[in-house]
Amino acid sequence: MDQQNKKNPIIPAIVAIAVIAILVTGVIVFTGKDKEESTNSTEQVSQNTTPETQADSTALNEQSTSSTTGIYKDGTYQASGSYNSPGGTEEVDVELTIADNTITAANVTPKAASPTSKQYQSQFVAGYKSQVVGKNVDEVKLSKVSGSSLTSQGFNDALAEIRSKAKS
Amino acid sequence: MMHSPKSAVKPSPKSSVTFDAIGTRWQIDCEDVHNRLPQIKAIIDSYDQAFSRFRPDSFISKMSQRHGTFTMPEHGYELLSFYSQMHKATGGLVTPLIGQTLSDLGYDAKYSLVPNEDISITKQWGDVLSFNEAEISIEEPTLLDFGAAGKGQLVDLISDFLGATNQSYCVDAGGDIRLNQKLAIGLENPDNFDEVIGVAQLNRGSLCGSAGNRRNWGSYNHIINPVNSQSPERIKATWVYTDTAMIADGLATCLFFSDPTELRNYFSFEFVILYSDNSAQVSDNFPGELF
Repeated sequence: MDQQNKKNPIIPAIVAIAVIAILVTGVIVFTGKDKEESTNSTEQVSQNTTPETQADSTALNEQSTSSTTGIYKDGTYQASGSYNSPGGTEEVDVELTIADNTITAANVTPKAASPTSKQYQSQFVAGYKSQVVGKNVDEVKLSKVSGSSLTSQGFNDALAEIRSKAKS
Repeated sequence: MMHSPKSAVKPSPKSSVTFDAIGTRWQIDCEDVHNRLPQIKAIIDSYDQAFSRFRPDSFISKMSQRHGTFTMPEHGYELLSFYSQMHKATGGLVTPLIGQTLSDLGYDAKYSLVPNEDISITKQWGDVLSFNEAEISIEEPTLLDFGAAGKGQLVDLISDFLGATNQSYCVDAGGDIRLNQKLAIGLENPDNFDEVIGVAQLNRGSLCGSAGNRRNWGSYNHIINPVNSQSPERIKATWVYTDTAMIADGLATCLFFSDPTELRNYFSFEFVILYSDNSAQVSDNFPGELF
């Protein structure tokens, strides 16, 4: 648990860096608009390069509000970010949709190689709950319960026999 | 997509049958289910006759005795095609060839539940098994296991049979459920059967769960990694919601071995994963909530 709590922030940090990579150092892939606009967009973004990583999202806000012409072309941008985990270098793909200088959608695709990193990256991507709580079935209005498949009497008997042998 | 056909939304809780078959407890709710029970039992029996590795007269048992090319049993092509997709999506970790390994570990036809001294290494699909719509071939006698998705397919066959007359139904095979009526289904706490850790609100489709907490013996349960012949420990339980029970059932096992993002390159589904530290992951559009 401790280990996990420490590690989880890595992924959002990576995403933040990937976002900066997209917004600041240039666009890697552009989809959704035609080619010419995509080139323009890259140039415009590049003109506003501020290589300090601390710039972060505040830089984006400032630029968005101080600009009258619009710095970022509407469209979908993609970039990859990498970071070092105890299991080696891991990557995430980040896709941003920008409209009116605002990020309207962000998608993160986990690309981790090690199972542990995969788990952490997935936890960041989908809904994640750090601790589930059991409620008594009587407290919840239910028609049915789903879990591991119920076993047959034959299996239960065999199991009971094995367990009693193991104890004796 | 999310709506049942108009004619099919008339829950009739009074018509219900419960029975044991294929190693689990069934409950089927449908208006005239009592009249249709003989046909339902016939569907189950014919399926079991083909795909059960727990009965000596089954097609699967026959294939464990001799190699060669066999006529594909009914529904076998669909089942094997799905297994071949799961095999690909999990990098070979979900495979019907796990049968002999499971049996050696003690999950055999007699439920001996004691591991043999020698545990067979799971054979590679490409080395022994091939199939087409009409036939299935094995290079050497091989015990196949369709436990990951066979029950789901059988739930689908019965659901299709009941649904063909536009009736509302709920087919529940030991917690693997397909329905076309509104129901709240609890997600069982694998550590305490009196509790649920969440609830799914469904009105169509299938919800299937998988966990190692019932079919377990020693350090094993019925979910075995073919690479090291061990049961996965990182995940306690999984649930999958999708259109059919075969796919929901199969993917609930796949989630023990593969990242959901990876699996979603192959299949469209919603899921809940409960990890061994009691943390949980829920897909964005899972029709329900966790507590």
